[in-house]
Amino acid sequence: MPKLLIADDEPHIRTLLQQTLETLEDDGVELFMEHDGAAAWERIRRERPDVAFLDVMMPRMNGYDVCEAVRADPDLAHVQLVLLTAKGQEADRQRGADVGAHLYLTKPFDPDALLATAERLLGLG
Amino acid sequence: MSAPGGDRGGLRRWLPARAADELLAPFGRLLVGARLRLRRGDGDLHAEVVGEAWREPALARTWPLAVDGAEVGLLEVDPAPQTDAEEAAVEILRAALARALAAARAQRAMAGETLERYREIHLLYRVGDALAGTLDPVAVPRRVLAEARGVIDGDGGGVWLADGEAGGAADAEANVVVEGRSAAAADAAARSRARLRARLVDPELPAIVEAGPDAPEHVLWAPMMAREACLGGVWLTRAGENAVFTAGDLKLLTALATQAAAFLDNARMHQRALAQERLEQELRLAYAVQARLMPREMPATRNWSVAGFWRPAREVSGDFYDLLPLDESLGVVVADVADKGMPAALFMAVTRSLLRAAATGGRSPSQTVADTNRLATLDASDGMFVTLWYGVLRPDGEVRYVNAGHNPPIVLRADGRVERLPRTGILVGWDAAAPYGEAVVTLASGDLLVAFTDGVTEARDAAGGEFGEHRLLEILTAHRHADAQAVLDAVRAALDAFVADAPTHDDCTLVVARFGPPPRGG
Repeated sequence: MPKLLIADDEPHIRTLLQQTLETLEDDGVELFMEHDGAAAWERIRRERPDVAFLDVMMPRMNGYDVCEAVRADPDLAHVQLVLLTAKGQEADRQRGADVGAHLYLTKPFDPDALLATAERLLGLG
Repeated sequence: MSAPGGDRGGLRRWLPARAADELLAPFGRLLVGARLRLRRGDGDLHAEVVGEAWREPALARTWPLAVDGAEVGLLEVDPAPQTDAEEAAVEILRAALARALAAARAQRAMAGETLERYREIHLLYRVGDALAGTLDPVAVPRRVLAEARGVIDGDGGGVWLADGEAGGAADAEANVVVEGRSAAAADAAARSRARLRARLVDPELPAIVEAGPDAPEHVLWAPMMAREACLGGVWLTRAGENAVFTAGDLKLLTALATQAAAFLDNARMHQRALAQERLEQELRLAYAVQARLMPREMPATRNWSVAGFWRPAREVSGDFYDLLPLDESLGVVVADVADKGMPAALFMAVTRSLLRAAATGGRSPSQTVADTNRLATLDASDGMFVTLWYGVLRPDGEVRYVNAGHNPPIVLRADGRVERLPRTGILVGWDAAAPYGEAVVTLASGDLLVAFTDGVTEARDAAGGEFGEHRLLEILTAHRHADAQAVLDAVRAALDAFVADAPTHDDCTLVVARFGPPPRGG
């Protein structure tokens, strides 16, 4: 069963992300929600999701830190990382690429584009 | 413990497993002999708490969990509560579950609204981004229709472009783009067009129309308004009982239509600007062509020196002058077409060619003008006339001329006397059979002949005052002993100083001919 992790410290953003992506559950995707970077990192190690949507600004570990930790672990090489942020500067994008994020999406996100991205990364038609 | 699985929009969406676990936990400590379970709509286990004294399944009791009257899952208590205290605890649990589901419902509704706004922002951004580089008025409606159908989910749809800028009742069948898999799409298109036209008259007409016995599809439409004009409209169609368009759909389509109208308006303005630029470029080319029709150098003529200038009011002119070498003599033409702009310029070119052809073979001025008039009248469109003065300057000072409705040229004698060369016939292009008389004037050495168009004497300054023949005569008189070019330059300088920055209303043409040897020192 494909797994997808959503990590954001803002409860309302988590709700928006979950509500956008929950249709994936109909395709058998298991969704996990986490509210800070350290919890996200723990969940990634435990569940080894196929895709992780990570907010950049999170307490305990930020999104970049989580990416670096994931990329440093060869067992997690299959995890596809998507950074979500309200910052849209080119430097931020570059930093996301440097720490191994596959994609860098800005908030407010386009719900249809976000779902399409998740489906593409999960290999769902 | 919560368990994964699918209940397709049921309990899991309303009460996430972690929240369910947290909610059940204290009741597990309260009902130590019971096993509390939440089941999803499909019967799968969603969450569970087992009291420490519970041993094995017994006769359980269930209560439905509902949101907005629809069952989303079950609360299962095993065994069913036996005592009043257990009943009370289950009541409290049910109330807590109901509150949690109500809160979740409110939160999801709010999130749904927010996501709709997110969609709108991105739709408008995407359309704006896609259309920013589009200056093609045909591409705009197609793009908007495609985006609208994608986001609002229409089976079919179309764009109706009002013909012309006012967007009134013009029939623009040709501009309709109809897309859709439904056989009723064309019918919906026709109804939508009719409705859009009606909307121009009555803005209160409903924009969401439900399917009915006469109309198999629901229709949603929005006008494309820009600068208070309706440029057309967009509509979408959808079939099915639960497919009626919503107010949110309308808001989105209206935003899209308004944005499309702005881009369409912009694209049309750009096209108009391009057309204007093309026209101006053509006029500049026409000016260059016409300027080449004017004499570039003065033909050498025994005993005469001649100078001329030509200045169009716009890019092209209906005035012209011409100098024709005729054996020992020189033919001089000054003409003014009774119009301006391109039609006048074309008629000027025709008249010039006809006169050049007619003047050959030793024809007299009256024959030349009569022939020119006959052919020009056949060619002339309504209201195209030309006044002209044509004179043949002989080496002995005799000038034989025809004045076809032109303002009389001036002969300024060396002693300062002024004579005018009156009309000998009507303007050219009016009557193919018009007769043209011929007159003769003989110049002595030092006399000047000055032919011009009314653009010279009627030139206006900024205050609206006319240059007038009196000013022309003053300058000619003051410079009458100078050579032809110097006299011409003096008139032109005076004219420029008089008009200054005032807009030019008419073409100006002037020819100065001086008989006799060049003045000393000139």
